Parts: sequence; structure tokens; C-alpha cells
Amino acid sequence: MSEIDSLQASAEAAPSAPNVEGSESGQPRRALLRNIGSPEIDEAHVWMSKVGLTFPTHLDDTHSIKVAMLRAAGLTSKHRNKRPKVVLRGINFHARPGDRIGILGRNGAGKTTLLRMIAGIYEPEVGRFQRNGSIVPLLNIMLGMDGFLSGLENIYARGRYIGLSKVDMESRVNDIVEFCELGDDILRPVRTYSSGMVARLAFAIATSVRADIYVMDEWIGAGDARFFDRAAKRVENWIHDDTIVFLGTHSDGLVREWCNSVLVLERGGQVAWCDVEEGIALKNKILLEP
Amino acid sequence: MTKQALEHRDREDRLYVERVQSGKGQRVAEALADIKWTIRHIPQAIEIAGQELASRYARSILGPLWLVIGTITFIGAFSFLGTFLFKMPWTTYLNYLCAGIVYWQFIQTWLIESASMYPSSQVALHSTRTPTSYIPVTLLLRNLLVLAHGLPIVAVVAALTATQPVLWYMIPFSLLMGLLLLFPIGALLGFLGTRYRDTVPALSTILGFVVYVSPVWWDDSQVKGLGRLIVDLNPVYYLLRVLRDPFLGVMTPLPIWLGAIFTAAVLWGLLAVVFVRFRRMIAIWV
Repeated sequence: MSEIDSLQASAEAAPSAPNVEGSESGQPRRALLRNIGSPEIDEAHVWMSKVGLTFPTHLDDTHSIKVAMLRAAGLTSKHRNKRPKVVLRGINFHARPGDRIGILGRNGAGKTTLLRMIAGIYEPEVGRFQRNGSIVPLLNIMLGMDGFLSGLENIYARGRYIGLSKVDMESRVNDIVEFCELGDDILRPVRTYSSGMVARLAFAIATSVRADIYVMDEWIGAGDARFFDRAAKRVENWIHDDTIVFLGTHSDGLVREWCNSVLVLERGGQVAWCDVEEGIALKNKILLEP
Repeated sequence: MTKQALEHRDREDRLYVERVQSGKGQRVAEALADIKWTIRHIPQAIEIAGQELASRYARSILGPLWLVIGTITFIGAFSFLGTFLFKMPWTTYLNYLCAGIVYWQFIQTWLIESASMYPSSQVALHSTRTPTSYIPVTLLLRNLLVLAHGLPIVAVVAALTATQPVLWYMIPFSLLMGLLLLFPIGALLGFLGTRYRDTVPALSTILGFVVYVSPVWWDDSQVKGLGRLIVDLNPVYYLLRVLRDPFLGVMTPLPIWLGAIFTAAVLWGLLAVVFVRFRRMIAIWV
């Protein structure tokens, strides 16, 4: 069986889900309300059906002469493990404007991989994926920052990295400068900033672009309480703006505050797509399993 | 085409709208959308190339002027040595060497940087949607910016020393032909170098002796007999002929042009196949 066949087979078979999937109050309710078939609508949406992805595992094998000799002498396993690792399988959801989906799961469950796939970084190997609408991935807010450039120059540099022209950025500069509260420091090189100042600038730049879809992965690091409040306020503004938000996180509090549904992952498989409290309970149950 | 990448500005806030649909048999459509995105963002790519070059010379007083100084110093010093070795008039050899060295440095840097272009932009590839074709285009633009510091020297030297009138009108064509040959090689090396990390050391080793067996700094017209095979069987020789001949006032023979066009066609075909087949894997391999 080829890797794609086996992946498809595993996508057909539901991932081993502890009791929630298929229950009356869980994910199927949404599925009933919304047609899960291929959407032909023009509003912003993200739709995945039986999406799966594998990573090759043999890339990081050691190819040393020593290993080859041991193998030839029969002192070690003759066959390298060439089976690809299934990182995502059976992902099904349909997000529409106003949906704010928290992606939960333990370390290595596939949260970041799924977020990257939504952002268009990884493309699905099997299954179908449709995305309509402008997207801003906030997976790494430091992208494109150059320590030798001033804060102001970095605003333009970042714009170039995400494909915006100078004119596009000019309309945003005032808003960014105001939000990051750096004062005259905005004209000094970023390498002279404290880490909190860099985080403020990066966050202001990254969130200055309005989009239909936001993809966030555990991003609030440095910055004091005042900044955190302002950042949270900005995210709340999106929430009122009928956008689609994906938030990968370990924090139950953040999910309760910002999300209105939850997607639980376990070993790359989608365990549930359900209401917030249900999803958090399920995730905590999974965390207790060995 | 099931996949439509509709990218249009409708409102100030909505920057682009696109529709991604993935599944089997859509690789070609996705590859085309990838290239389309890159072509649309060439202005930004030029700005990024300039910014990268500038940041490389941050805090330097002369900045990219070092590129010019370095080239002039090397060529000036080496041309005296070569004049004694090859018993050519100094001016003739200077012209030959100058065009050869400037172009060779461009070729060598482009090829070696190509082999590591995806791993070195790993952060960008993993944090935002970066089309696979965008990386080689920005890299080529940066190398062209460096070349733009060297070519004026070649032009000045040629204007002052060429024994035959310089074929100025041929220079754009020769440069275009060179790029049509070098871009697919670099882009293919990009895929190879991402999958097999031995590519960079292997390539450095190979290019290290290719510069000696190719007529970059020695004059091929002095090679006769069996040794001539080293020249005639060497693809780099033909590439250098295409690039250098206009500065020497020599019209590149038609067979060389036809061979170059044929080779370019083969390379682009190969690149198209590899690009469609392995484009998706770049984000996973890096």
C-alpha cells in the first residue's frame, strides 16, 4: 500500500476518538446546520474535507559510512524505516465569517502543521481544501525584521515580505507608530530596542493589515501588562468584525475568551469539532491519557 | 481549471482574495498560480533584493562600492601576471580577463547561493505563504544587482581596450541568453540542495576546479591539439562565449547560439517537470 493509499484509508476511518465524536451535542450538530459539501460561495471561508498530510521520515537518517557498514555486516536492522509520518489526517471543517476556532491538542498533535496548512504553507497531500479571502498568518511576527534598520524602515520591510507595496504601507504607518508607542525611538535601529519594544513593534506591524482570515499560533510573548491589554483589545476588534480566526494554543482561558468553537487534534487526527467547553473538557481528558 | 487564484484589490482593507482548492491532478494549476503570484510581486522582490544587499553592507562607509573596488583591484593586479604568462598585450588581456572574471563571479555566486536558497529562507517559508518560485527570483535579482556593479567596469575597460569595436547592441541579448541558461540551473539546484544537503559542498568542490579548466582567466585560443577537448567539451566555455564575446568585439558563431537556445529549452522543460512535481515538498524539506 502506497503512502497516499494508507493515508486515505486512515482519513476514511475516523481517528480513534473518545466518545465525543458522533455524539448528539458534538460536532455533527454544526455539520447538520451547514452543508459540508464543496462550498460554492463567495464569502470568506476555509473548508477542509478529509485532508491529510505526511512528512517523509528518512530525510534525517544518518547516511554515514559507519551505519552502512554495520548494515552490511548485519549488525543492525537492514531496512531503514521509510514509512512517512502521518502529521494530519481526516481534517474536516468549514469555517465561515464570525467563526473563531481554537485549535487544541497536546504537543506534537499537529496544531502548528494545521495552522500552516490553513495559511497555505503546506499543501494537503490528500483531501480537499478551499480557502477564500485574504489571510494574515501571525505564525511568526518577527518575520522580515532587520536589526540594522530603524523601526520605521522595518515597517516598510515587513510590508515587502508580505507582498505589500510602499503605497499600501504608507496608509498604515501612522496607525502602526501610534499603536506601538515607541515615540522617537521609531527612528532608531531595531537592534537598540529592548525585547519588549521589538515585540510591540512586531505585533503592531503584523496586525496592521486587515484580513478576512487570521491564523495565530501562541504568539503573545514579551511585552508588559499594558501592552498585553492593548493587544487583546485589537484582537477583540477583529472578533467583532466578522472575521475568521484560527488560534492554536494551550491556554484554556484564551480559548474561552476568544473562540466560539474548538477543534481538538490528537496524533494528527481530528478528534472533534465542537463547542468550546466540550472541546476543552475533551482536550483535558486526552492530556490525562498516557 | 478547478483552481482559480483570484487576486484582486477590491477594498482598501481586503488585499487579495484567492481561492485555493487542492486535490489530485491540480498540480499544474497550482504551479501556475505560484508563478503568477511571483510575477505580480516582482516590484516587492526588487525592493527586498536591494534591502538585502544594503543590509549586507550595514555600518560600512563605502557600502556596495566595495564590490567595485574588489573587482578593480583583483583584475588590475592579475592582468599583469597574465600578461607575462600568456605573452599577450596587456590591454587585450585586461579586456578578456575583466569580462571573464565579472561574469564568472556572478555565475559562481548564483549557483552556490541557489543550492541553499530554500534552507536559508526557512523562517519565511514556515511563517507565511511564500510561493516556491518567489525565492529564486529574489535571489537572481540580488545577484543581478551585484552584477550591475561589475558590468560598468567591464564596459569601460572594453571601450578603452577592445581591439575590435565592441558589439554594444549584442550585450542585452547575450545577457538574456545567459540568464535563460543560468536561471533554470539555479532553480533546479535549489530543489536538489533542499533535498540533499550535500549539494552545497559538492558544488563548491566542482566549481573550484571548473574555474581552472574553463577559459575564465586563460585564453582558449592558445590551446591546441588534444588539450582543445577540454575547451570544446566544456559547457562553461560556450556559456562564457555567449556572455563575453560582445565585449571582445567578436560575433558569437551561430552554432553556439543554437546550442545555447537548445540547452536552455531542455533546462526549462526539466525545471517545469521538477517544479510541478516537487513544489509542494519544499516547505516540508526545508
